[in-house]
Amino acid sequence: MTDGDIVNGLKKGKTKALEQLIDRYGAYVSSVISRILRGRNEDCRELSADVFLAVWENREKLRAENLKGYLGAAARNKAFNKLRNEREELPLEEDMIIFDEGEQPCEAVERKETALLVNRAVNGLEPITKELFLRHYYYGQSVAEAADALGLSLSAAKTRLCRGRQTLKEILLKEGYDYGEQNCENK
Amino acid sequence: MESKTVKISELLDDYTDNEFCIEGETEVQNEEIKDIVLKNVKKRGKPAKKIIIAAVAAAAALTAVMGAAAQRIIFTGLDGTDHGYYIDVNGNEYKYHHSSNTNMEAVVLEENGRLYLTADGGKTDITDLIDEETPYIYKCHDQPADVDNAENYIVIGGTPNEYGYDSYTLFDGEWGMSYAVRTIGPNDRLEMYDWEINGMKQLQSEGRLVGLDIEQIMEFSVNR
Repeated sequence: MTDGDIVNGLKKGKTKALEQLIDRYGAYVSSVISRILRGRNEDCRELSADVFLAVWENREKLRAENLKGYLGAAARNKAFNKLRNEREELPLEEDMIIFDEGEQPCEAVERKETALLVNRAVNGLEPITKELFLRHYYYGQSVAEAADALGLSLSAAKTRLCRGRQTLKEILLKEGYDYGEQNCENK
Repeated sequence: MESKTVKISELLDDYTDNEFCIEGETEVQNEEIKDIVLKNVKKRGKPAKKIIIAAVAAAAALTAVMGAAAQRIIFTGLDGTDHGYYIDVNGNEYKYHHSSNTNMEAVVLEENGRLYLTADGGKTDITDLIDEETPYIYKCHDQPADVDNAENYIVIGGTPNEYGYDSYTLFDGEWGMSYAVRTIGPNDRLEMYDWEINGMKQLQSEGRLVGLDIEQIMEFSVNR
């Protein structure tokens, strides 16, 4: 049973396919949410169900490619919205990469699918920086919390995050990331 | 100099974590998620078209307006199913029964986004003749199975996404029986549709549905 088979079943309105999707990715979705909500099993259970209900409601638009990534993004979105609704601030350190005019993606590189490129860029970071990066920007942990988990001082963590942002930007440009096609803010 | 910013937290929506996300570190079980999801899916129904017998606001309303004495009526509809209702002396209470194998397609059929009138064994594309407000009225040649000397009219309206029909059996132009079958989305409604009301008005203007107070019917259908 491939992801494509599951998606086809969903598009035909088969609830069996929905069960198969939950069997395959339920643990992943609930783990992503649990990390962001720091446990809270009741909320985690409810939001995980919300993710799969949203998939069911929008099944006609669903694509088999990068299904796990799609579910992960949906799970993050639900969990972050929950925190925002509870007025919990998400103070992400310098949550942006700035592309100045003239810093164009490498022309020689063939444009790649954004998901593939972002995954490659993140995986290109130094291991400890990568984990720090993901704990903070992907799972919403505070810098202090992530630093503590990795045995780093706060200042060392901030330095690593700053270096990581720069490296990520360089890799993205080198790999042909077209920020012009993304949701960018003009400054 | 113009610059553009990309939010890292949003950029990471395209990232799939296969490394730090430890599956099973939460106490939430897949079966628990399934239970919640499947209950909700059943409760909401499929977003796609779903065919039901509506609560028959029109029939109940018509009955109330006619002020009938206590009676029990059971008849077989054009689609071959049994329908029945009870009316008290005030005309305000009723019950409605139907078989579970209602065959909507015996009257109207949706196919590839088009609606076809299929009564009397035909197949006429009426998609462009109807909408939320505009009905298509068809006089059936086939009589209801248990009614003699009656005329049967079908009023069809709506869109391919939400359509339905009302059926009227008339004796010398006066209302005898009525029932409605509709398609609905996730949220049913009791109010009559505009195409139903306009269908009644059109039948009246042609000298049928004699003595009917449509305003009163509309009010009854909303408030019952």
